[in-house]
Amino acid sequence: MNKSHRPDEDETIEAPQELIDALADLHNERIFVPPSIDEEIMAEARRRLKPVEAEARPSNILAWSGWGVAIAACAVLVFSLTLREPGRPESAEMADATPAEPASEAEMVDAAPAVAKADAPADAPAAFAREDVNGDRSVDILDAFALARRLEQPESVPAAWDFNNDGTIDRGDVDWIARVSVKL
Amino acid sequence: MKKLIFTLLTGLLLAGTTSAQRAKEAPAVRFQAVDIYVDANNQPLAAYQLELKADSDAVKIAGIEGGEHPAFREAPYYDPRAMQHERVVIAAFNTGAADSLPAGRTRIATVHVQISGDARPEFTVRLETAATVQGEKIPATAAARERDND
Repeated sequence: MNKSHRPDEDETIEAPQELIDALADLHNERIFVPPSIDEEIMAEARRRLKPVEAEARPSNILAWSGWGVAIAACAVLVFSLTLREPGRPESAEMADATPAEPASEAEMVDAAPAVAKADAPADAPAAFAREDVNGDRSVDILDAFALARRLEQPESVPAAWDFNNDGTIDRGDVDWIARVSVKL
Repeated sequence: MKKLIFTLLTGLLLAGTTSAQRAKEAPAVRFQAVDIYVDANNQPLAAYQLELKADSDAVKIAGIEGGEHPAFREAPYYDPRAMQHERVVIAAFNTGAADSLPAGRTRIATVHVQISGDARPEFTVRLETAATVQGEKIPATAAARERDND
């Protein structure tokens, strides 16, 4: 009932010995290719593959340059973050972007450093803000004016008045307060 | 050939008309100098801080220069972000002696503005603080006046 067109598994097919020998020797047979043909094939291959290489090169360069730009950008970012100390303005354009610059009066109160408090007499009211040089509980041009006048006197000035964190208390700190005063 | 020339000429004519129309539709822009005065009565004025504001956003601040008195001839402090806006806070001080400072009404700065369209903006000045030589606050008033363009 269960007939199949396939031969029985037990059935063996025997090939002629000559065929078996010929097939066995097939891969042992060495085919001679003249060097001239070999060179011709290689030359043709080079000729055909050259444009493909040339096309592939720019994209590789672009890919590498893209990586290069990304790596350079990361390096610059890391470098700038490393250089920039918190609370230190980058340049004279401080008025534009100063992370440590108080944005509001409330922040200024919080930002008042311990040094400023240490300079004040014990019975004096708590400092309003570090920039409140004249102690009128507001930060405006009069504080810059007060610091400028103080700098003209031989007395030493509190270290806490180094507002721009450049290590010296000078006209730069006066300008710093003035810019904070007019900031929109 | 004649057809081509006719088409080209018609195109040029249309383009010219359109650009002229656009120029007519663009709002006119004029520049105005606004002089700022502070009157410290008879006290020598050593420092001031004030806010200038226009009541129209058609006004854009274009430049700020110092005043007439040598003590305030340099441009005052201001936030560069005020440029191209209608509001600015300006401030200046001078640590000179009393006799080198202005007393009475003096022009302390001039603000140059750009006004778009036919707007007739009003400028208001709010004096935030003023002080004399020792940094003592003094009563003072401030005013803005548009300079004649003639």
